[in-house]
Amino acid sequence: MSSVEALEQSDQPAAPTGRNHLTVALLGNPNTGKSTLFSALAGIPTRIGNYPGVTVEEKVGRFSHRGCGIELIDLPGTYSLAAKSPDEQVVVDVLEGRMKGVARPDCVVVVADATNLARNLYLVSQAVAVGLPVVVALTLGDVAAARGITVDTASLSRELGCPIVSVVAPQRQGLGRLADMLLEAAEWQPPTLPERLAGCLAAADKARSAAAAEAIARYAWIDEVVAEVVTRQPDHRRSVSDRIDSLLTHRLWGTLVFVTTMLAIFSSIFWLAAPLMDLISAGIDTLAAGADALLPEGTLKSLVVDGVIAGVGGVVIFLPQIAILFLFVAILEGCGYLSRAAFLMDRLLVGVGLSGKSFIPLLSSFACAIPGIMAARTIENRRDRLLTILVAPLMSCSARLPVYLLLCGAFVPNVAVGVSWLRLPAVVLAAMYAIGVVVAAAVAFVLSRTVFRGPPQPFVMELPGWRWPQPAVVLERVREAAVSFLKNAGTLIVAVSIVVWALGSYPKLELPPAGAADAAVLKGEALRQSFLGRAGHFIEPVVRPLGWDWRLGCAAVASFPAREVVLGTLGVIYNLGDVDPGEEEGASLLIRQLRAATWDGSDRKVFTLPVALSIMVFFALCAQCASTLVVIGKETGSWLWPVVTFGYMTALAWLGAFVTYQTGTALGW
Amino acid sequence: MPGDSAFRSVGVLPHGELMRPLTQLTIGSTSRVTDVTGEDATSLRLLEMGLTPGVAVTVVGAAPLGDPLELELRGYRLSIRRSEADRVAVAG
Repeated sequence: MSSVEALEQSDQPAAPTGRNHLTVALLGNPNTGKSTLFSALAGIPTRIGNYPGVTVEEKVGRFSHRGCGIELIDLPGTYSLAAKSPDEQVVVDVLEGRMKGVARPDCVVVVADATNLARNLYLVSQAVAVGLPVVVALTLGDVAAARGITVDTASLSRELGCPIVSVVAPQRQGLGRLADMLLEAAEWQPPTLPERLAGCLAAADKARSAAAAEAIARYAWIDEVVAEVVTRQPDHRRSVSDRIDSLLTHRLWGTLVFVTTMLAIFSSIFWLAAPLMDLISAGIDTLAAGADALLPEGTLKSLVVDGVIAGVGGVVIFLPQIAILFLFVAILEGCGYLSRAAFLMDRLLVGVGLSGKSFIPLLSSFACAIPGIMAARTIENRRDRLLTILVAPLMSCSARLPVYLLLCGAFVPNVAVGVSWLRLPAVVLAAMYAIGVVVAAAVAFVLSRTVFRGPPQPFVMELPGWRWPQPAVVLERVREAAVSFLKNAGTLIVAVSIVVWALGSYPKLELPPAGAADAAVLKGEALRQSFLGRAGHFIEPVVRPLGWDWRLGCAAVASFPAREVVLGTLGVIYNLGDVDPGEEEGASLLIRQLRAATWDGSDRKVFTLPVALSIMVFFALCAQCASTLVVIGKETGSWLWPVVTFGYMTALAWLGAFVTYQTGTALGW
Repeated sequence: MPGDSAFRSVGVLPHGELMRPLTQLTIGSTSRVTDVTGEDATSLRLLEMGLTPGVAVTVVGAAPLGDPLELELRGYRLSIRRSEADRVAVAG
């Protein structure tokens, strides 16, 4: 509930009806200020989710006006009601009352952008024929006025046969009048098709397909109407929007601004989030220490500290990155830059079967795949969105970096490559990042030409005018992303963490090996005896061709739930106890231990250059992150896709590590 | 050339008017749409976005790698790929 006070201020007579409940659908083109109007009317949505069976977002808000409770359904932004995409099908189904679990609306508000009336009237011309009372909310009138565009709303209202209310949602102008109109309109008969529109439709070109002829006929009507109701001041001065646009889509300057913006976003999800993540870690550690001190020694304590608290910590830790990325995405979306970024990058991505809109989700995935996959929500095209989600986990995320750094530092000889300042460890590190990108491009290329083959996907995209982002809309986007991650994925991630804890803790070590009083050795033995440890033993034949011993197999298996634990696991498995490999001392201790490690029953070293490389390639390509898989499941609305992702990435990781090790060994590295 | 999915070259309309694909317009120039070929979802979307016969369209620019194009029509900016712009015939 919100907006009550502001709406009640209009001093019109009380509601003309005895109704105490109304359902209103909010329909409109993308970029028309529809979200701003929704926020201004209903505030924070009361329900956000997916429509049954499709991954189209359902957003519902509530407010009350003159004692009448109004439920506002925010339909996905659409250009047309001739359903061609799942989004458009949802819109049509809701308007016609065919959507399961959604009551047919009592009336429709069509949002129309006054700066771009012609194209917006296309949807209006379809909306007046759905058989529901229609109210047109004319937005961005202030921007239109600044550009010398005026709309004769009285004439337009007569032509359409439905009321038009001018609203400037950020300033809350016209909201009361719009709400009054909704209460009245709900009692009206649906409008009849405007006479002239009916005439144009009847005169449609019979030579073309019905759909194409209808589109042309609707614009014939629009051209007539716009000529009558829209006046443009003969002002040849280029608008500020045009000037900003020509700078930002300029070959040189536009590219520079783009690179700078992307670097800023990328570094902030990397570095700006770091202190917040440290803070969360510290808080979780304190909580764990508190529980540790309070609870008696035993299974319950282990479950609470290592299972539940660690699991919750593993969820909350992603929030800073998600919030920061969505803050940037929402600002870019609000000011119109998101479409420009897609415009600039499209050519680069279309060759591998993706589109310009995949760029920001993929770039973000270098920090963390979870916010990246969530940012794929900005891709309207289902096929492009799914492909982007499937390859996003191949980008080397920040959790892989410690593995690369440790192994590059310890096992890659520090020699110069060509020039003295270019060292081999740095080249290998860069190669690991490149492998992810190249494999992602190859996977996207193959999938787009096999599994996802179909008619070419249109890239017909509006480049909206430049405007200031609305703080309410931006904050709502961030809040929504955070809440949906916590609610949808969070609970499942905690559950997975508890299962992993159980697999690593059971069966319990029956009898400590004689003489093994050392806690570190005990801890190592306990892990080796657990289900997780046994799995490492069990898969030894599988990892042998990669040059790994069973302990490495064990560590790899143990890091499937979350790859960042691998260094800690290596420490435990090689009997170091709980060293923190993040600390310099811990790292050098771990490096010494790894360098000294030998194959069971021989003095042959486990870690050679080919082995270190094969481990890195495996980590670069493998889907070792349960949270990512859970998020893929939630975002795609199907558990098929996380299974596919896990399957193809694990297979590629094994193959990549195999080729690396065998090649390296054959070349005598 | 009705029936072709794309206008690759200059053609002549029945009443003698020249036409060519939108992709052949130089950046900054304006022309009038004469036809959108094809009856699939992509062509329908182009029509729905207002690229209908008779409308004035300006090629405002192209992305740094030459594709997609930025158009101005009916008072707003639209981005379409060259492959899509090939379906749109303009006068001249």
